[in-house]
Amino acid sequence: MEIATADFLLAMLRCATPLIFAALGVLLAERAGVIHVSVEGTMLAGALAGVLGVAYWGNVWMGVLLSIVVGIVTGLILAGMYIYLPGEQIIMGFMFNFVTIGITSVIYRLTVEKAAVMLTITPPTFFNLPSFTLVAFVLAGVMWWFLFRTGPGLKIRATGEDALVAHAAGVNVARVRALNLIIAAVLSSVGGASLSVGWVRNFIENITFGRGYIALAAVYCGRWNPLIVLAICLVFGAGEALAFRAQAGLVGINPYYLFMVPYALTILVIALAGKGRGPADAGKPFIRR
Amino acid sequence: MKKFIIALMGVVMVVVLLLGCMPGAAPTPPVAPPAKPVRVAVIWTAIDPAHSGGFDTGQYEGITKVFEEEYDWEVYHALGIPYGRQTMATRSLADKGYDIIIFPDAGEAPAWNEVAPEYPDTWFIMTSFTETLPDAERVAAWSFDAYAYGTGAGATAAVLSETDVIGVTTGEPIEVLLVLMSGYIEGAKAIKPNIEVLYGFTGDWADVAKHKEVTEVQLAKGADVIFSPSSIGQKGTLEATTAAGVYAIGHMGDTYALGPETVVTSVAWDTTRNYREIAEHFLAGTLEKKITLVGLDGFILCDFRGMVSLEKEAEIRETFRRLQTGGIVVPKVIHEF
Repeated sequence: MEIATADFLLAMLRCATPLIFAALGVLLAERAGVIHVSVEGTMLAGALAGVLGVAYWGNVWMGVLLSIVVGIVTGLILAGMYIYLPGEQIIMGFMFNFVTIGITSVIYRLTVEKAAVMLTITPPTFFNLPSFTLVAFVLAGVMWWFLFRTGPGLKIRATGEDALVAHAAGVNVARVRALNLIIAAVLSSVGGASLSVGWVRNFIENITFGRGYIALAAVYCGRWNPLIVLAICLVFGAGEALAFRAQAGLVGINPYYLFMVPYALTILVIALAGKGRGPADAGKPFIRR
Repeated sequence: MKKFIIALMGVVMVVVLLLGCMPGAAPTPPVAPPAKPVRVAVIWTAIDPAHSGGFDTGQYEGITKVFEEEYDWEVYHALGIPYGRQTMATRSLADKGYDIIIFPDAGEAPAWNEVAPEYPDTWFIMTSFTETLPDAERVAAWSFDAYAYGTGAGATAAVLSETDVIGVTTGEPIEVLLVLMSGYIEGAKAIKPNIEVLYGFTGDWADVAKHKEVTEVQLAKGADVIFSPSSIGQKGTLEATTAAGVYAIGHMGDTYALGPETVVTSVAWDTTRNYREIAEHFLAGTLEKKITLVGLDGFILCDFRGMVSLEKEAEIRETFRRLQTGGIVVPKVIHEF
């Protein structure tokens, strides 16, 4: 079983890339005080949008653009649900995910002649690295700098930590949360596109298979810090790549044990990392007094 | 105005009544009531069997072609029913009076076993791998010899391979697949004794990304032909083989549409034959409680569509024919995975 090979590293990056995008989205939303359980649904919508964009316009970047548009639309819907109604974020997030499975399935069937066919175009690579992966790495760095080194970043963190205090300091909490949620939805949606367009060049119903929930766990493990979250996503990606490779060298070992590797690795990292404390007001609706 | 409308309506009604009572219309000959159409329900785990490729699509095409097109039967497809809810769904369909309920997936056996004894007027038919029948009268199965099927796929892959390394990517290590994969290994070795057969499980039937990654491992080890006996997840395998420019062999149904640049042929179960037999026996009243075991003779090699040279295609077809007719004998060895 070869681990430290270029092939293994590339597999790790492929597995981690959609998670990085989605986790950065979750992180941004939670830093502003919104629990983005709906990441799974937005990823799924973005995955379909990406494939349709490429299938109909024959260009990878049109797929990415369409996934961004879908991310903005879903972000607006979520902002309406979470911030302006406002509702219980976790329950509404799960409901949104279920509805998205249905909607994407319907659209997929309506466009099945195009959407079910394997894409013939592959995204460009730089130094043999997938472009989606490079963008994800850059975004993690930019997000860290923005959140921890800039004034607007401080406002976002203040909104997630104590919305009333932020409001008292003159921050428009609803607007900050809505804007962050829209950006978070765009990131999740592009994460979905990085899976469907950048990785498997296909779409099937429910293609994300819970990767959005893994992104949620990665944010918890990563202490709401973009760089640590990036590292956690890579650990999970390494776990997946390892599980597939381990089968080849371990005849007689029940494969189900190997399927557990990425999850066991993540649990191990959580255990080693100790208890984390997230933004105090995450998930709490902001109601002006 | 109101009085005028009422009077007009009264006149119209009288005229209609008189016309209806007029003699002269010849009595129409008695028409035999139309024969009651046979009603069939199919329980699917797949959400979209028409496009999921492989086994489900092969089954779907067999059912629609025979029951709907050839026999004009009424077919209801219950789509996306998870295993845990199939007993409830099957009972509900049986309550609605379907004549036949089809289970096209071996994993649906618990619902088949539990519900069939409760409805003695309905036929419950499994059209997938099974070795036992439920404790009921109106039950039947068209099962396949998984080992023989595996030998067909393995021999085909062996003839195609130039590196003498072939792979098989599948979902979960369930019993029927372990038998199938054993057949695949032995079928390949019957053609090329020194061939190396790589295998990998994804732990999931539908996760395209996992199928791709497992296949990538095999490709990195030199495999140049991959067989993916799985469900919709095989799209990931086909993506990997397409990107690597190597061959893939389709599973159970004609899989060409899922990977036109990589699928050389598919070892397909001739499901139309199974469903035609079911229809004929049902109409003749000769359907009986038994398992019809379909060997390699019930499988076909799908159109090659020019993916390989005519000589290579002929070689593969001849090898497959010899396997079917006993010209090549493959020992039965069940491997551990």
